[in-house]
Amino acid sequence: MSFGAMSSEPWKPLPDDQLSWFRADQKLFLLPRPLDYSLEIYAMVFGLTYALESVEFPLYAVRSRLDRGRVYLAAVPSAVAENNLEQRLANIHDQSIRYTRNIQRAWEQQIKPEVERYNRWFEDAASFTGTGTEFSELLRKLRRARGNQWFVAIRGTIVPTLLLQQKAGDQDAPIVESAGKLTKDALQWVAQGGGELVAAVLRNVGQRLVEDNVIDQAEDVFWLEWLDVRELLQSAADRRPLVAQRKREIGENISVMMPDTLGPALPADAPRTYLLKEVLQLLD
Amino acid sequence: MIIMTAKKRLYIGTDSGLTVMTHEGSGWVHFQDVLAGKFVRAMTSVGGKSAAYACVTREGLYATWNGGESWQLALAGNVHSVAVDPSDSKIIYAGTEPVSLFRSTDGGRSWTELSALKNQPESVTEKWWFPQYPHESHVLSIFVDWRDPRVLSVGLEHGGILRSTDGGAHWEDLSDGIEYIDIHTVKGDPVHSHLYYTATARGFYRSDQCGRNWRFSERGINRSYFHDLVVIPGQPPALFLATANGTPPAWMRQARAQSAIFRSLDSGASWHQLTGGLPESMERMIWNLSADPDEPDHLYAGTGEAQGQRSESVSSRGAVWVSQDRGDSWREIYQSPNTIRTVAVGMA
Repeated sequence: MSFGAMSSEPWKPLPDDQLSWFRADQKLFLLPRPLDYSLEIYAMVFGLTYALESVEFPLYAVRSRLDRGRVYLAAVPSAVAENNLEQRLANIHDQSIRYTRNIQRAWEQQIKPEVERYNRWFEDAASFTGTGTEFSELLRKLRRARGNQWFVAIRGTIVPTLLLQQKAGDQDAPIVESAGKLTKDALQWVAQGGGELVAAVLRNVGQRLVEDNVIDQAEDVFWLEWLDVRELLQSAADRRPLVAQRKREIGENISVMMPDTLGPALPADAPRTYLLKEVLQLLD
Repeated sequence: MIIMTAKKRLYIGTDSGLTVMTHEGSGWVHFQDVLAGKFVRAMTSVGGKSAAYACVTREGLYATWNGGESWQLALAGNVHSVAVDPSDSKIIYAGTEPVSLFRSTDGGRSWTELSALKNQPESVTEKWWFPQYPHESHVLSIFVDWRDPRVLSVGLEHGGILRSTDGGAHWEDLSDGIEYIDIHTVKGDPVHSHLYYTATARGFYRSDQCGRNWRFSERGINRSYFHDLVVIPGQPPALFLATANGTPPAWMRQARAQSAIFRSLDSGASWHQLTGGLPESMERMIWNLSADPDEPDHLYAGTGEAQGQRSESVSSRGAVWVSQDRGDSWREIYQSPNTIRTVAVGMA
């Protein structure tokens, strides 16, 4: 289909089995436990997807999958972007002006206050008490809030830094070096600071499940999946055998060699992967 | 030649207040300014009546029942959209952020929340999102079917399209086929009940199946951003689409918005840019297209800057354009020091 045309069929995103997956080796993705994957990595990929599409990167979404304990990512192609790729790449340049004109000020005045607001919310949630249903709703909000925190940081600091480094932003912006430092600060606040606070919230949830006699210790909550935890909070069921099984599995997975890629090969210059690996490198 | 039998009002909603104009003899003259300083995001009027409704961001829906002379806060909340039931002008719908829909059956004096919309399953609500804090989607467009007012469609900005066939008691997400679900406007065809249209931020789509299975349909369009859409009856019905290039943050660049109006006379299958009296490429965005409910061949376009954007010219940041011949020819009738977000025509 060309720019300005009419499609003969409704558009559908490519299914997982037709995507080209690459192993994500950044620290954030290493051997996640089920709750790390279904909450933290889900939220990060959510934020990454919305950040990239917000700045008009030519992809539909970033998807993740877990295979033998390894996280793989794939970019889903965008028909709209590929219909007029030249315009889309120009739009990235135009979008970048909003963030690269004064990346420090944007961080101080807009992004950091929002990041801090989420961290304060996580801090409160770490001592939350309530009914199982209320805990379950808290977990729903937690994943969305964490996703928004990643979004605002990636869109406002990580991507602009990359665009400056790639000279896709304002060519005369004399801030590439400080932008790199800013990215480290942002990751300190989000990946580390936010991550520790989210873990504290989850331990609080885990303690609740211990009281419900579902798991043995609060830390065991990380061996359950986000949706499973939410359901358990409303309808208790013994998950000790499942936790034990998953602990065993991850031990077995560590010794398994996994390929760098899965699925059909993709040309290195495929529009959908535009600067994606570079963004992930900055997140490391 | 159109003979006006009753005095009309032109409501011009801006990012800093609402201007009411009245039709005197050969043209529009200033009547009064109201809602000073308020961001008037959307408006609608009622055919043949002196009622009109204005959505004010983070405040609520204001109503006038006397042709714009006085205004009252009719519904408090962050109201983003408003629509009138074409079969009963006392039935009004208002869409909000966070996503919800309210209905009034007495012309806006009292309201009931149609809570089924907001209570969708998580598989649907997880798609509701917005780039700006607090990252909540909102109902940006409401369409009440021309023939069956129980059939309601809502467009969520960054959320998709939902449809109810029972007056809002149950809803179904009908976003399949739309790649980027940043829905700006959803409309139905006045003649063919199975045809629906939507303008999204990144494309115009048509559904031949009552809002299901949307297909991209931009033959003839050379723009990449889509905002408002108006559909007027006639033989054939005409669709008008407000477009631009890039997205709002990019419009501060020298190239600006490069906005243009396109018209389709074949149900959205093909489009032609309207240039009669209009610049080939407008610097400001065309934020709003609307038709006079009593004379639907009369179209109005409101233009302005992107939110937060300041132009060099302080005397004019927005304008109203009018066409009285289904879009063939246009002329500018009003300039505003503020960005114009919405225009509506009603009776005095």
